[in-house]
Amino acid sequence: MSLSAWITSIAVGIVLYGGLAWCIMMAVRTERKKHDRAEHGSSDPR
Amino acid sequence: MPHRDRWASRPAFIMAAVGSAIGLGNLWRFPMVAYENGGGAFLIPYIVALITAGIPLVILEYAVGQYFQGSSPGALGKIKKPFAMIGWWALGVGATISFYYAVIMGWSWDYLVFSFTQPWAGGSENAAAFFAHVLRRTSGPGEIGVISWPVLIGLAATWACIYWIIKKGVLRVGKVVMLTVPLPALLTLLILIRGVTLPGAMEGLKWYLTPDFSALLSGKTWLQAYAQVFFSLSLGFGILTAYASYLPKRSDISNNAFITSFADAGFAFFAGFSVFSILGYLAQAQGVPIAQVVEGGPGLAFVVYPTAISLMPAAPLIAAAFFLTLLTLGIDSAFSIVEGVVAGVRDKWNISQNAAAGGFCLFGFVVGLLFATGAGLYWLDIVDHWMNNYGLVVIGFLECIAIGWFYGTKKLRDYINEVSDFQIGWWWDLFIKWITPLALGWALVANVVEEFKTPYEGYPTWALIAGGWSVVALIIIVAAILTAIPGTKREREEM
Repeated sequence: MSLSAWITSIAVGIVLYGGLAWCIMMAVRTERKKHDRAEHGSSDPR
Repeated sequence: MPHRDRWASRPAFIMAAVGSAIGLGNLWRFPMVAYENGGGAFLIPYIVALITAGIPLVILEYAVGQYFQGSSPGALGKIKKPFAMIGWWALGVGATISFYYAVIMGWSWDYLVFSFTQPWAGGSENAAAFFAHVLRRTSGPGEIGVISWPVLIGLAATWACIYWIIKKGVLRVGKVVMLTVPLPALLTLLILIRGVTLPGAMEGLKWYLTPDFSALLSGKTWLQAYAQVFFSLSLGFGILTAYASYLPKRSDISNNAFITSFADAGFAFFAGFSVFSILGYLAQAQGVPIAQVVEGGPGLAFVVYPTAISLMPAAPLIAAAFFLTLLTLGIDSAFSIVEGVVAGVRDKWNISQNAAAGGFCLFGFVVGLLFATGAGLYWLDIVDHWMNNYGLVVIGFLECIAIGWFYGTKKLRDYINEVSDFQIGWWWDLFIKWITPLALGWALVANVVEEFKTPYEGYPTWALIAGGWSVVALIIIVAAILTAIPGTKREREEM
């Protein structure tokens, strides 16, 4: 495979899978925070 | 506020939305569109389209469903009553697509059973002849022929599965998707591992990924990228709106939209590796150039793939894995479409989930019989073309107009930012008000021009009018009637 094919594929892979991983990480972190708040009796409606 | 079903958890919602977006098109459409439009270079307009049209519209559909706590017609009708018609139109298009989508699933059931005997083995011509035999295919749309028994049984099995999954509402859907979303990804990975270890695989991947940057100068490439993103993300069916309406009002929107969109695009990109490694192997095994074996759509799944698999060691096992992939990929898209319609019907007439689901599944099975006849493949092709090009695109366009120019993007964005994991900026307003409708409007005009220049796939004009324009007109009329007739007292009070 040509170098340009490798570069395009890697760049697209980073955007798609990197973006997905970052978003999932963000969701996990927020959900954990919400869970912790709920456990400690916070009244945050979220 | 009246009781509304709820997802068991956020992961259940995300998995259901991802399962709805990832369907057969990711496997048999995306790789071919990429191959025909500049190979690796196509990925650039694809990502641009994902960011400028796909993600903003997913955010919009989620936000509308979650904020107004209603299915597509109910939610849009709360902005302005006539906008409910856009919602009914979306559900009409979705319902029509489900009628033939279930037939394709029926073929997959049949082929899963046939996997163990491999009756298609013996080359491409044999596989094509076997596919025509299973479908009892006639010579054209005018010759209806007979209903194929295997297809009929497969169709009944599909509708039975859809009914069983959605009859208990989103709680059961949330459980089923925990299997039907990861399983096809895992099976595709296994097929990919098998594929890349075969001779000729790298040649196939070269065809898939080698960029032809000159294609970026063609308007057609960009049009195809926007179309692919739009069709792939299940936009314009009312599914995402219905699914989001089962979330509490203070749930995240923007992050869920990004996750759904990236997962869908990521799967399509990954599926391309699996498809082209197998095509490369088939081309080498048959001693022909790859262009001669490349095919998209049902031809890829039911002729080209079975041919290639039949040449491999442990063919029955790989074939079964492949058709199980098709089934699990398709089933969550199919039941999400039906759930979108059922949610609309329930919101309007306040009937039970079981009754709405049962009634629609039975109706879908009966209407789907047309696509199970010998002429079914032709009608499926025509109806599919019209639904995609004139159903979904128009609905996406109208949704942008309704929110962008009547409800107000700023108002909706403030709500989205208040409840989401991260904030979206003014760019979203720009896309919803201008960029996305312009891109969809351009796609629509280009499609209409092309339609009148060349009759689609050379079908006779009467067939294109009957299966194309008439179906679109019928859906619009039904949508107008459903908007006009009163629903239950609850619906009237909520409007």
